[in-house]
Amino acid sequence: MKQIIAIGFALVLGLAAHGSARAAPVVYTLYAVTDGKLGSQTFSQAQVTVTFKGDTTHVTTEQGQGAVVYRNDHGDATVTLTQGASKAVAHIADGQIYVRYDPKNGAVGFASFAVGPTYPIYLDSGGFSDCIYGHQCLYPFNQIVSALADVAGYGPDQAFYSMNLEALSTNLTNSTLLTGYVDSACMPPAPSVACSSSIHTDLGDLYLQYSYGKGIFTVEVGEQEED
Amino acid sequence: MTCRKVASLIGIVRFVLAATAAVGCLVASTGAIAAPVTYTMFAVTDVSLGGRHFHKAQVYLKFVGNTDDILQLNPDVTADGVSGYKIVKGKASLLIINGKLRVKANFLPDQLLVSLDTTNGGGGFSSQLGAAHHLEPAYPLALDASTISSAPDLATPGAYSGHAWSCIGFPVDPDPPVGGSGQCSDPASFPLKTDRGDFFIYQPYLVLDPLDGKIHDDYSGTLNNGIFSVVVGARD
Repeated sequence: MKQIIAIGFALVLGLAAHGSARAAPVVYTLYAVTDGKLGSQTFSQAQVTVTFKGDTTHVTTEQGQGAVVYRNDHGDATVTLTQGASKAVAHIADGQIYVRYDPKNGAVGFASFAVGPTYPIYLDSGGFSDCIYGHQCLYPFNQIVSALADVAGYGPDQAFYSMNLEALSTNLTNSTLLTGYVDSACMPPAPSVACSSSIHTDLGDLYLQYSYGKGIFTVEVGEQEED
Repeated sequence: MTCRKVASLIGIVRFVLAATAAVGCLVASTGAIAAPVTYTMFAVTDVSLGGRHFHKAQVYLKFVGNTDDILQLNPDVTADGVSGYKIVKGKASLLIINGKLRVKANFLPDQLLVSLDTTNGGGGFSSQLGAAHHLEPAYPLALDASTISSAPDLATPGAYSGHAWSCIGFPVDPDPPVGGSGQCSDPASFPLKTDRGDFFIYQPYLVLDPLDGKIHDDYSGTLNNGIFSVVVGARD
């Protein structure tokens, strides 16, 4: 009885354990070129790599607005900034960001507990196609995260994409590659440097700004090369 | 959102023209002040090195040269008036990271060049393949559209992203004015030589025309992305 109550309570909160993932180390990484500020240093057109090391057993699902969203809240996160020959690696404080993948709406990246799902950085369709997820498209998407959402919503649209796209489907517990347009937005909307809640790191507060460009997100399950 | 679309379409036309024109471009030295320059391209894709295949691997291509060796494409003497830059003289290498594996290799001389079309907005690591050494602007790995189209030259430091192509036979758009084949050629006949064996890179994720299975176009035909950087002054 207690178990039933506990499950019901979890569903009310919109969180439910995924349960099917076998324990394995997992590394989520997002690669982008963007602008922002770390500590007192502003950066422009820097290569930004956010890495989150966790375990697949911590992947959960969140139910919201008819969509299943996968997330992983527990892990060690770092941000690496490379600008020219300079490189800085900052460790993101615990409890700042989590991994979030919304396969129905084609969005993947890192969300903030304090700010929301669209900050500090994520990848999406970029509004490139006029196609609406769940409907037949006349024009395909050109990013993996949105192509997967397209096919998940309307299966026959698979004809737009090479067959091996399907192998990139993920629930954050299997290795994959996702691409998308880089996005970063405070909620409520505000210039990112004015976000009331920054991301705390051991090199100071981190802010990322929206920038036009393409990004790469990977999930790597299993033992990885050590830095 | 609309701006992105417009920019993307401009990028298609630009890079197609660039690829078409680049074969016949004449070049002239830029006269840049001599400084070490390092170009790096990154993507996650499928590659093969020395007979070993790597799936969804992190692939880094690096080219180290000198800004004094950057050559300027001269639009006044090219049929399509394309301007841009290329650098042929330098040392190229690659790094593959796949799980716990980390494999490095050095390209043998004259395997790769770095090119940039500033008129049309595309660039990256190119090659001259086959007995005729025909230019392949999008093989082994080049970008088009997105921020790569804002790269001013090959001597200014910066980092750029774009749609990643590893395509022999680019541009492929079957529609006029390109009239391409709609397909990338199999790289099996065009190995890039390294000190660890032959290197091949593939383009596994494509957008197709459902009617004939050909690649959608020269911009949205690839689902993959890459990051290209120019670092000046740092010794490797």
